[in-house]
Parts: sequence; structure tokens; C-alpha cells
Amino acid sequence: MLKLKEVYKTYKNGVNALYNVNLFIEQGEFIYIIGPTGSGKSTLIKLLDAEERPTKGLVEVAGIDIGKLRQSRIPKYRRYIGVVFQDYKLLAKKTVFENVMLALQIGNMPLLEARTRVREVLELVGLSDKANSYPNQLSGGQQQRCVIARAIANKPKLLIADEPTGNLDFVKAKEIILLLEKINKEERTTLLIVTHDVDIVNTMRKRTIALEDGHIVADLKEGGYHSNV
Amino acid sequence: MFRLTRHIKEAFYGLIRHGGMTFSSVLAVTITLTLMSFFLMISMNVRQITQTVQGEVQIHVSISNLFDTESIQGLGDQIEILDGVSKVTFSDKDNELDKFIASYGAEGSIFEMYRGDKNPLKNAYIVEVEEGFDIKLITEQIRVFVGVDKADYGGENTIKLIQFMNGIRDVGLILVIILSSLAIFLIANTIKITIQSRLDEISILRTLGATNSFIRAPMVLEGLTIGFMGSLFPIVLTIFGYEWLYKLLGGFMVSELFVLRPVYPFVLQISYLLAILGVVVGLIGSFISVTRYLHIKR
Repeated sequence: MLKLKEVYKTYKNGVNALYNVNLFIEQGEFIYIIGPTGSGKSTLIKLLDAEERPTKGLVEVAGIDIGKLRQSRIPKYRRYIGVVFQDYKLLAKKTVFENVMLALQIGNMPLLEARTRVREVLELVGLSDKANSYPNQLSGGQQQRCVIARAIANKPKLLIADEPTGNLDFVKAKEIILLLEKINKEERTTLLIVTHDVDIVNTMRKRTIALEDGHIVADLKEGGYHSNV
Repeated sequence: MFRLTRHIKEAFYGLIRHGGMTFSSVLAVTITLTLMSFFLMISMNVRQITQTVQGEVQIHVSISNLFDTESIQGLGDQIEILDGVSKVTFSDKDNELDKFIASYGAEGSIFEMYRGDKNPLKNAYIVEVEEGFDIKLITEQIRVFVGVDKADYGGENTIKLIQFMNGIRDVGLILVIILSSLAIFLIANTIKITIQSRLDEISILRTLGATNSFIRAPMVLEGLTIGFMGSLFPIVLTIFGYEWLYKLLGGFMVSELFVLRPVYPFVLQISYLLAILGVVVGLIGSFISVTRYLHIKR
């Protein structure tokens, strides 16, 4: 599903963000990527999101070589992956329903089918009763659920969540991870959760990959991480 | 269809959401198109007047009496192939006398005695020139042809008047081009400012896999609508203003030689042109702004 082979990333300003990263993830896996600030987590997301190209090495998602992906093919590629952000990135002037609908409009899904799908994902994330609310009328946890609904609306093969629990307390954070777990099972979506929340990683154990200074320093199949990250 | 409805809706919301910007750019386009309408009306009327005056400027070529029919024909061919000559008409000496008598009106009858063999006038060619060509130069070229006794044209002042009017027309057209560019610049700047306030929205759309055309479409529609809205006032002003002015002047400018273009269909032609110009500058202006931004990021 996801293959990184000898991946290096050096930015134009000379910053080396990733060194010789090798990673292989199967379809349907649930993975935590953990590491302190500056460890290369954001760069990894940018590579998977096709926002950046690797300086060297192979980044392959669902058989697509990101380094060789043509500019004109990037939008279509992005519809195959979903991204959940810490700061939500919801459109403030649109309702929950419209925010989720947007992803399907971009994918050019027929209207009736799109409406059904929006209701389906809102049901899945437990926001059916908030469909007509605006983002500023929702709590942090509800906004994050809305973003997750939007990210999975197109049935992506890979869902990347960048610090999805960063702005939430432990109880709410746990709820979000449980929801992502549910999506992982029900929608068979590969999940990549980038976080520095060690509590969550240790409580809800999944395969955990630790990054430090651009290197993979641990790949723990049994989950949990006790280093000082 | 679903997408098109979405783009139209988004463009409409965008216009309302950035109401202040919408108003100022519509106003900018309105002012520019009003000026443009003014120059267009002047240019097109001057063009009409110039054509009328120009139609009356001809070269009168008197042919030597020693020339036989064949030689006269040869001279006509020689004149016709000159650069800038649009039409050559032969007028025999009888026809020349008719015109001479007619030019004196009722008193012309005293010249009737010269009909037939006593006719002192000569066969002639009436030469018309193409617009923009130097009538003086063509006359000089004709004068040196064998068999030409005399070649004259309508006078220096007429030529100067045509040159002056052509100048006005050209200046008018240049101003229209400059004003179009100005309108494009104003719309491009407005859209650029609205883009700045939409950077978040654009980045979210990109993350969701929106193509550049999906992001661009509502903004270009916005620019197009701004352009069209900006053309409405100048159109109303053109229709009623020109009609009022035409009635006030009685259809002429200064003298009866300078006939103004009739109100219809002239004002409608100008109106269509203004609406098209508004839409096109709106489209180009917004397209330039959005495209410039979209090319920066991957």
C-alpha cells in the first residue's frame, strides 16, 4: 500500500528533513508515526500528500510513484487519500453538511449519490444531528469529527491524520482514535496517525514508527513507545 | 451540471461576501467603460464624417484633345494601377459640360450654346482614392502621364480636415485600448486582494484534490460578473445620453456636412460592445490574478 525506499528530503534552504527512510505499510494497517518537533513528521506528510517531491528515493502510495507524479495528476491523486489536520481546516461559512459535500463535489460525484454519502459518513462519525451547524457552533472534538467525515467521504485508500488529537483533552482524544479505529475496520482504510501524544500511543496500542532527526529510530509492531519523545 | 451550479453559487456568495471590493471594482469598471463609451461615440462619428468628406475628394484629370479613344483607355489603365487609387470613372466632354451647366443652376442655360462641336471642355477621368492615401502624391503622379493636360483635387483644406479627423479617430481608439488595459488591471488587482483573503480556502480545496480550474472557476465568474455589472451604467448612459444629444443637435455637428450617426442601431452597437468589453476585461483580469497565484504552489 505504502512504500518508502531510501528516501531523502533536503529543502532548498539546505535543511535536511529526512535521511534514508525505509518504510513498508500494508493495506488496512493502523500506524502511529511519533516523534518530537523537527523530527521529519511534517515532511513525511508533505511527501505522501504530494506537496513535496523526495530529493532521492522512492515514495509509492497505492502503486503511484509520488516523485514522478505529474503536476496535472496531483489533484486526482489527492482524492485517493484523505488528510485530517490538527487545526481542522474547515470552511467557516459552510455548514457541516456542505463542508463534507465539498470533497464529493471536487470528485464530481452525482448530486443524489453525494448526498447519500454525506449522510452516511456523518452517521459514521456521529454528527448526523449537526449537519446544518456551522463549524463555530461545534466543539473541538465535533470539528475534528467533521474533518474526518470530509476526509473519508471519497473512500480514500489512505487516511493521514496530522496530530488529530493535538487540541483535545485525553477523553476526547481517545474518542477520536476510537472513531479512526472504527473507520479503519469498517471502510478498510489504511490509517497513518502522526502524533507526539505518547499517552494515546501507549493506551491504544498499534504499530508505532518513531522518527528522530529525520531517521526512523524504531518500528514497533506491538505498539507503545517509552522513549523520551 | 452539479459543478457548474456550485461554481455559480460560489461566485455569487463571493461577490456578496466581499461586497466592498465588489462595489469598488464595479465602480472602477463603470468609470472606465463610461469614458470608453464617450471615446467610442466620438471615434465612430468622426469616422463616419471622415468617410463622407473623403467620398467628396476626387482627382479631376483633364485629357488632351489629341488623344484617341484607345490612348484614353490606356491612360485610364495606367491611372487605375497606381497605389491608392480605388476607382477611375471616365467622363466624356459632353458629360463634363452637363456637370458644368448643372453647377450653375438655373443660370447655367447660357452655356447651352457650347454643346456639340463648340464644346471647349475636355474628356476627363474622375479618380477616387483609398482612405488614408496621400491624394497629393497620386495627383502628382498622374500629372506626369502623357496625355494629361491638368490634374486637380479638392483642395488642401479638405485634405487637412481629413488628416485632422483621422488623428482624432486614432487617438480615440488608442484611448479605448489604454482604458481597456486599465480596467483589466483594476479587476486583476481586486481579485488579487480577494484571493489574499481566501488563501486558507484555496489551500483546503487543494488538499481535497481540487484542480486549478475548479478553484479558478468561481473567481473568474466573479470577475466576469463584476465586468458585466460595471457595463450596465455606461450602457444606460450611452443609450439615453446619445439620444438626447442627437435630438439637441438635430442630427448634425457644426454644419450639415457633418451628419451624426442615427441613434439606432448605433447606441445598441455601442451597448453590445460595452457589455462584451466589460465581460472580457472581467474575465481576463480575474484569470490573470488567479492563475498567477495558482502557479506558485504545488
